[in-house]
Amino acid sequence: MQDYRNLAAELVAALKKAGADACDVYIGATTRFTTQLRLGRIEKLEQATSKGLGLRVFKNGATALTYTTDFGDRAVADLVRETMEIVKVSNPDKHNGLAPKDALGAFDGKLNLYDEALEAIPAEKKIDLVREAEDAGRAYDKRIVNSNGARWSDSRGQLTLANSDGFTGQYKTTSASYSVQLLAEADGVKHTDGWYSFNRYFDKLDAPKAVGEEAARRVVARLGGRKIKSQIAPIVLDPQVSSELVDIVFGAASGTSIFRKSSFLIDKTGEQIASPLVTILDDPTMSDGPASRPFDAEGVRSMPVTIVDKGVLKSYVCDSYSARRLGLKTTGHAVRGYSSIPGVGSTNLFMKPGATDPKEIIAGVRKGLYLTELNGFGFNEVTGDLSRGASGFWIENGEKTYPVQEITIAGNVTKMLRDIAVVGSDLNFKLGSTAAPTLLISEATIGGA
Amino acid sequence: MNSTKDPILDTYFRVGKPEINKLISAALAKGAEFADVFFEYRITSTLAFEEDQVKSARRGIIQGVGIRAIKGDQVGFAFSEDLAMEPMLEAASAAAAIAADPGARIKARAIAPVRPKNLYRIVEPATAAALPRKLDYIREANESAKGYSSKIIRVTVNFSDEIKHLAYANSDGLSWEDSQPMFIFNAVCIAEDGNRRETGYNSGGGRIGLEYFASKRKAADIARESARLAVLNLDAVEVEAGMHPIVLGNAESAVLLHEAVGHGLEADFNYKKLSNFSGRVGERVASDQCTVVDEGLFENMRGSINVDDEGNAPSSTVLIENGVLRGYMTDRISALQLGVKPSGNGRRQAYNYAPMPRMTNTYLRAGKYDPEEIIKSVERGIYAKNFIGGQVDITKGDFTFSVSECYLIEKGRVTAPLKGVTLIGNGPEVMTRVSMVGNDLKFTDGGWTCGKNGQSVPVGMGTPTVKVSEMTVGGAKVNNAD
Repeated sequence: MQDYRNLAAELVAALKKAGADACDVYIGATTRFTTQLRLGRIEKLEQATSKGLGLRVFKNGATALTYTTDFGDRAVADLVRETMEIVKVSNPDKHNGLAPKDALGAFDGKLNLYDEALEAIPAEKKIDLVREAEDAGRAYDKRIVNSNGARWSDSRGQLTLANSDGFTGQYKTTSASYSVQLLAEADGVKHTDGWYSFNRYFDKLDAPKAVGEEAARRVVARLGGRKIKSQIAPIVLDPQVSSELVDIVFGAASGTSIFRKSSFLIDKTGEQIASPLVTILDDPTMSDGPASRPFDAEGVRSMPVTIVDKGVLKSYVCDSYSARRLGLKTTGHAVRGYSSIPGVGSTNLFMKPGATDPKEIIAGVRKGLYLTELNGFGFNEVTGDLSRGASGFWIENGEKTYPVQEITIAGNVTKMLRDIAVVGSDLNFKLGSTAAPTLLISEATIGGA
Repeated sequence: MNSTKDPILDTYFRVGKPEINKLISAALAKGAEFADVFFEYRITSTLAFEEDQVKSARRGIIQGVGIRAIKGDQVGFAFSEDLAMEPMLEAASAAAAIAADPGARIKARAIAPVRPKNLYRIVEPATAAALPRKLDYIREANESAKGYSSKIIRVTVNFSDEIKHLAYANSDGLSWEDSQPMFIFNAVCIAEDGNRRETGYNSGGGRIGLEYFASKRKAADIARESARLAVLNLDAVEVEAGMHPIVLGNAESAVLLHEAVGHGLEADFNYKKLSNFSGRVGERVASDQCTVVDEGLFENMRGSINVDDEGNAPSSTVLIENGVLRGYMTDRISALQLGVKPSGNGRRQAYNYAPMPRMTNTYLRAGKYDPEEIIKSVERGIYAKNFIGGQVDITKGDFTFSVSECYLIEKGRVTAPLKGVTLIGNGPEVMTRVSMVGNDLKFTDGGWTCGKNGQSVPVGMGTPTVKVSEMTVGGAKVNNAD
């Protein structure tokens, strides 16, 4: 892949020459290979390298962004001119600007972002791997009647950022992932579910047999689903759902939500916002973390941040703009693509595990819901009110019994966070860059028949 | 035969028919039966206005070519942003790899253009308008929202527009060019009263120019509607979870139709037998009051297209007629697999994605009931008017909708606004419970975007007022805990 550091530096110089007070240039390039098999047959092969660059300028306190996928000399020269034109329409805002100079830099520890071996792995090997996963899943149970396919995707990316305060940074990442999606049928009702594995390193992916069989177990477990009556009951959150709760806390603690007054955590720093069992961190410097990176989208050196400590809100998470708005310092949480201005986003975001085995958590519930999935968009970040479609399993006398479908979970997240009664010991980053253990919430409203 | 001018190809891509033929031939070289090339030059512009100021101005120019090779239902796909011949040929060869049978060679046919009819007649294109001209509308909206109520504490207005210049050719010899305009104007308001804060949202736009604001809706009206929703929800009360009769208001409730039946009727899910509607053409799948149509032919509507992204003309496709399943929405591959004529629903987000069957403007035909009569028929139930969005599992058909404007119906009258309402159910089941269809069909004006397999496309939708005899409503209260 071409090294775009020189181009970035040249464009910073060109923007300065054209009259920018300050500027940065963000260049992303990715080579991706994806394939999809279904019922053992290749359905799709896709390969491409894509790239784009974004020019962000500040002039008299105002800001503008332009972007293009055309890296030709003429196109880029036109874009520089155009950027300086459209910034005239923007209004000045004293909080605009690059990140503070003293925050710029790159984390120098080992992050393990790039698998050197990935590029040389032949397509056939990847295709064989997903074929094996789909086969294993289909063979697992005779109620598996169809497949929605097995998908493979890997990519090699390069991010280059340069700004007019002398920062130039670049890092490369790889990622590989695959998934299997199956259909099962019983009593004339069909269900679908799947499973996946992802990692920056090819040889750290879960084995295809394990992934295929997990997909099969999950879809078969959905068969025979029932509706239940509306009621208030304890709920156990599977890590797939508890990680969503952690994402909600991050979103509400983001500096952007705070200054926009669209958060239930306004004026809450230093206050107890969750059960004392809850500690939430975001750490971009984790070695092997799925979202680790040496610097953020403004070139701010990566560092871990404790957001919630033993239930007390410790820190908002900010990019430089929201930090200036709130009179705070950036926490290095700027995220963007080449076509967007920076916003606030998480990296490796997680809730610290507790001491209780998740099986014990379930065993301690006489009657309640084991929640595996939330659907829909029913969340009001201003109030914390949540109302979502849901599915899971009914717990009777400490054991998961039948699957439960077509229900809703409703309540206020601020109450749910305080009602966390047990935190499980099962934390890992296999599901994504946001992770949380199994949780017990002492009571929640379940809507049903 | 090559005398016809290709203005888009000449202006934006500087490639001619011989080059395109070379690319198609390269994509066919390993034995594919069909290949196509899709050139895109997209100009986008966004103005973000907040706290009485233009916070940022943004403009982008995206170009690229997507090249596809097809054998049966197998697709090879690649794209390039670099429009020099060498990288484009590389992409064509990568796409060709789907077929591994260089003996069975199909030759590209001579390319002849089709001239689609123009559904997006525009007086004043948004993308060509000077930024200060757009700012006038933004300021008008901002003032209107702030003036609606002293409880409005924050207003954000966004003006986003784009034009996609497209040029297409395939190995069957078909070629077309199209310039697709689009703009969305939206206002987000936050209202505050004591400790309560609520958000309102409204948007307008379509494949139309700035004349929209004079002929269809004023910028001020969009902002006022957003402010109204924010203020309304300050007084909203919690709803009892459980089964309730539901009246769905016209226009916006079409999101339910889109999720509950629309996706399940996209033909890729059906030829693969993944949808709960698979193999059921001719069967009763909804109440006999339901006729559901997908139609990409409405002028200036958000989901309309002059030509689909594979060169097929959009059509009016009756999906369900008086409750009976009639057909699916198809792209090229799924039409061939099902042995039907393509319905003109092959759509793609951009050059860097391959097409698949997608909805255009999906609607439920008007019925016979007066909307007031429908509400009057409900003793105690829910009236849902505006939605944040929805989601569906197309295999089982289970859906979830989040409602942003909702009221209680008591003794046939609309009363208190309700907060945090989620509607859930099973698409096919709910369609059989449609007990009254209103005579007030209306299409949405706002910017609905439909997501499927990681691709977003703009869609339109419409519905009259509809009564569903019973649906599960999620809420924070329970009536009969046991």
